[in-house]
Amino acid sequence: MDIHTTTLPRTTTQPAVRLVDVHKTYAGATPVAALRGVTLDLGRGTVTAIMGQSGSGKSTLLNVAAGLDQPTRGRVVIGDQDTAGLSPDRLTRLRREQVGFVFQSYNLIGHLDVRANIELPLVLGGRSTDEAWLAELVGSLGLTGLTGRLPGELSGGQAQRVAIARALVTRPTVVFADEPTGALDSRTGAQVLELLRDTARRLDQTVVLVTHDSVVAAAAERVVLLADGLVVDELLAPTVEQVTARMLGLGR
Amino acid sequence: MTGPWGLALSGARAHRAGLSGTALVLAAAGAVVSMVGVLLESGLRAAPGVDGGLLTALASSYAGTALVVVLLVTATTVTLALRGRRRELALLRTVGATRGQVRQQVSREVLLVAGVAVPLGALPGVLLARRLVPLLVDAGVLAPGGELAISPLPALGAVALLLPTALLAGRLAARETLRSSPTEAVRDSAHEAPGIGGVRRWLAVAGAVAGLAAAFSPLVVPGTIGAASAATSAFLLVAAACLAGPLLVAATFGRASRLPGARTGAPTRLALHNLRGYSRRLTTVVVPLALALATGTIQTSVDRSVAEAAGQQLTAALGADLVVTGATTPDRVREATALPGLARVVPLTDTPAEVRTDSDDLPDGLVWERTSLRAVPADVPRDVLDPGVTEGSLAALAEPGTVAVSSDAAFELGLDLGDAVPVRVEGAEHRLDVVAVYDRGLGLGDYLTDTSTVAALGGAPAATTLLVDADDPAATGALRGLELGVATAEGYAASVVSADAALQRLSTVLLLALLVFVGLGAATALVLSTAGRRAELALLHRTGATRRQLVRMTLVESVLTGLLAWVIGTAAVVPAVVGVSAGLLGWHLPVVDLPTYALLSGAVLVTSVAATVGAATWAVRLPRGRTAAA
Repeated sequence: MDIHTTTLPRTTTQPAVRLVDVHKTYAGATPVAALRGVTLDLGRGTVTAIMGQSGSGKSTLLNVAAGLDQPTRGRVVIGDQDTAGLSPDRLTRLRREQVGFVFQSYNLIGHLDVRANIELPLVLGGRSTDEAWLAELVGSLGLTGLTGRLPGELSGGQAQRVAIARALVTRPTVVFADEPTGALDSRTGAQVLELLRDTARRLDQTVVLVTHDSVVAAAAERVVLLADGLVVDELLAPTVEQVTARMLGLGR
Repeated sequence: MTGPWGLALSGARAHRAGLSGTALVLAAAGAVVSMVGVLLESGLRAAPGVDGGLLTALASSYAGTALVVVLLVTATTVTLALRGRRRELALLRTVGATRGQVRQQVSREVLLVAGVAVPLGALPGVLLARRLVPLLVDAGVLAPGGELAISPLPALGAVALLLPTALLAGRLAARETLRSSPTEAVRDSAHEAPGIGGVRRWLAVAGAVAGLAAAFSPLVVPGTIGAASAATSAFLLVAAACLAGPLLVAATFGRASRLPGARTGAPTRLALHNLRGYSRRLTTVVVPLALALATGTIQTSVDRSVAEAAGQQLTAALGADLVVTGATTPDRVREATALPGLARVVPLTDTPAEVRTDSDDLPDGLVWERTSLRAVPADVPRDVLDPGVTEGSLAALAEPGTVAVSSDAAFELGLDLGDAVPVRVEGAEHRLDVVAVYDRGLGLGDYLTDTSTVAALGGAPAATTLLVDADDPAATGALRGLELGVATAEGYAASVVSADAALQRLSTVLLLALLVFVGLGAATALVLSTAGRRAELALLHRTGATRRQLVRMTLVESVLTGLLAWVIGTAAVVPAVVGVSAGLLGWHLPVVDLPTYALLSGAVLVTSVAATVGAATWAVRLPRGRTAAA
């Protein structure tokens, strides 16, 4: 299972995910331009927070970067693979092998128990479960004793942690998380964040998370601020105060 | 519980309520198909005591309608069962399932359900066919004590037919989820796209055009063949309406949902919004209801048109004062002819025969059609019997080995003057030359020959009808005195048309079986779709709708659903009814079986309201659980 960490060349010059002039417009009666030309490199092994007000395009950016959605225009490169022109199934396989995604709405399958939900990406990929790794995830995410439960029997925070375990179980090279601490109290949120960062460091993962929380964002190495579908600002090694100030600035 | 089959099993388990409805319909479909299969197989095997030709003809004409209906209802039910799973399938994709994997998951679940339900249903289907035996005996299809063939073939046929249909419907239902990107699919699973795709649009147009063309084919294709092809137009038009469903719904309820003013109650407003917003769901539910109305109405109306046309033709063909029946032996005929006061007596003798309808090397039951040769004197005067000759002449029948054929038969067999018809009488094959073509085949039968020709073929006449012109009114009494049936031409025509009561009863029972199946399909569809709305109803409840309001909302929806089905069913039937009527009877008020139509219209509304409101009452009563995090 360590293949991913050992065979991928560690080159700082090549980012884990690269977006070049990415546009995304949702078709409809009134087309919505969610992204209007985003160019962004997400460096290997880094933790990046994406911030912005509601409707600024954060979730769309995350979906497009993760290969869950196709850009209307522009290029998305995951690892060394340009996603343009990939068949939907090739894209799905690429995603399954390299990307973990924590959904804001958890996206757990209602009739599968916690363990089956976590194992799902492995089952779909035809891979066997690394029991030690699963036990470690379950233990460190505080899910011990819950693996037999159905999603409907979990609290919001528990469901969130199951979603995180599912995103990490394949040891992806990039982890995207849409408001991963949104449903958690600040203490649990801090723990979950710690786990994400810890795992990222150990597995040399790239982490990209969308958040509203300045404290969470300040834990990242880099904060990208989005407004109206464009990158408007960037902070490196930010403090909570800096992040809060910038966010307030966006609101004006 | 890992692996793809594990996923399929757990999916099936989790959705057992919805799938049990699907299983029920699939089992009923299996029953109908295997019942038809038993009849067809028995006809083709033509064991002793079975009139193979007649049973094959009966089974295959029923099979046409039954199979179309069964396949449409099966496809609808599977589609509806998978509708409720769109979100789950979309979620699987976000977690990394390829489209192929989602398709396989769907196929596996469908296989699990259909693979069990269809064979289970096929068994009662065979029993159902055996229950038909008394009716078949009454109708003369089986000799008393005759048995239907029992073999595993009908059950296998049902599996071979229904499994691929269910799988295909599953694939098509999953297509919606697989077309878009995973995130879009999740988003779309919460609501429905209002429009329809280009392919679907073209299929709808093609269906409508083909349907209308079929409806008016009786203008080109004569007689019963034209009528049968017109009858298929109803199915084509229902199918076209379903394909165009979302557009039709948007056109109907799109305006209506903006129409209600402030005085309209919340349930009605919500209902109109729901119908417009979930046009695909509505369309799927409407299909079986419209189909029930269309099938029942068209079937009975075609039967009535054919009967009426036969009566009209017979009345027009018979110019004699009286028609005498019951002279079963030559002696009786001589006795009747010898009576005083009869100006003219023309005997019509019917001889059972079979005509080869297909030159292909197929089982006997399929290529030899049972009919009868009607012997008339070649010099019969037009004012006594007028078959409506269009080509050739009846006088030419005086030549031995000749035959006159109806325009229906000429069309079906592709016959022209001078062609030879292969005929089998008493097991011996002969060829008769066509010397005339006539119009009134529905009334007089398809084949007329001269008495000498039938005698040469060695046939045994089954019955003789005498056409009599009487000078003396007392002759009627004298004929009655011989215990013969005496009727005017009109009276005779009416009695002939209603004579096949046993056959009518058989086809009514078969039609009823089909309607019960469609009703089951419709009720299941309504319950499935309503039960699948628990989350939506709960959301409205949380937003402040009372349970009473919710039930009233579904009541309004169900009434409108029933009405839409009624409109579509009626609209689909009208061209066929007009076409059949025009083809058989000419342009005048079309013949419709109004009692059946009224009964089915009521049944459509009642089914819609009862199934929907029943399921909705159940759905809003049950406490919510297990969906918070899903």
